[in-house]
Amino acid sequence: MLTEVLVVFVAGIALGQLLRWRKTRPNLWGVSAVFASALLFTMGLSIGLERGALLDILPEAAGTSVLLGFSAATAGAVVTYLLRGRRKD
Amino acid sequence: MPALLVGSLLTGLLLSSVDLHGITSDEVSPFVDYFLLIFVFTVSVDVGAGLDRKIVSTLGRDALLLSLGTVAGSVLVGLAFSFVPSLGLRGSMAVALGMGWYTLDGPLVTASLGALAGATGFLSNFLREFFTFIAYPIFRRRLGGRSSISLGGATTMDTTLTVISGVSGQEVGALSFLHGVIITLIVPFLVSLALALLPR
Repeated sequence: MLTEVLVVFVAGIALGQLLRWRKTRPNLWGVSAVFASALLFTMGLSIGLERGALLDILPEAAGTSVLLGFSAATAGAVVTYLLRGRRKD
Repeated sequence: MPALLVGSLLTGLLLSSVDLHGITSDEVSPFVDYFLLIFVFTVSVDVGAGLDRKIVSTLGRDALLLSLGTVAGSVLVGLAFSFVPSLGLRGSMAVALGMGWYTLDGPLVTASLGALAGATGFLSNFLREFFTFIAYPIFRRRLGGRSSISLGGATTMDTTLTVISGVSGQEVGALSFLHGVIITLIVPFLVSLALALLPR
């Protein structure tokens, strides 16, 4: 699956560049939103069916997710700040 | 858009707790893969069509430095969370390297490491976006508008671009967009590498 995702991604970028070169600007935002919703609906269904019940998963995942998400964001900003020589521009 | 996506996920989760006449996770999983491939394709066509050589040449160096900081921060946090038993090194790195792209990271991690790690991947990357909306104005005062772009990871080219350009202006907004494009371009490769190569 990982290989398929990468192949499709590279093909999409190439097609996007080709369309840009042909001066056609696609607006796929709405289409992306529809498929993102379908993706997350089926993902939620799949996770829920695999684990049996919603209540089993969310409390277990929530604590780690909050800490990891906030830490990754903060670490990214702090490391960037240091890499840029502590410039506050 | 985020509300629609979270609503879709919750609807799926809630529906799984009612009687679905024996439908199993194995029967639903192929649809996750199909929708993921179509979604990745539509996003990548949009990103590819938006890659402008002029913006890249003007702001490219600064955007690359910002992206390097964003990736380095995620790697550090991925290493720090590798002690979490449900994730391990592979899971924590794959989740942290999602860098805010929750619609990609959640399904990819679910497919490789199971439901709990996948839910963590989705939730932590979704919360990163949410955190950026609230924290960007605060971090901007401490670290500056440009360095604080890294908070948002891949979301800085779309959803969080509104708050970044609103608070810091159009030039920082353009840099934010380019940073988001670079991160969006590398996330699928980094998450795939983490899932394929790292030990559990």
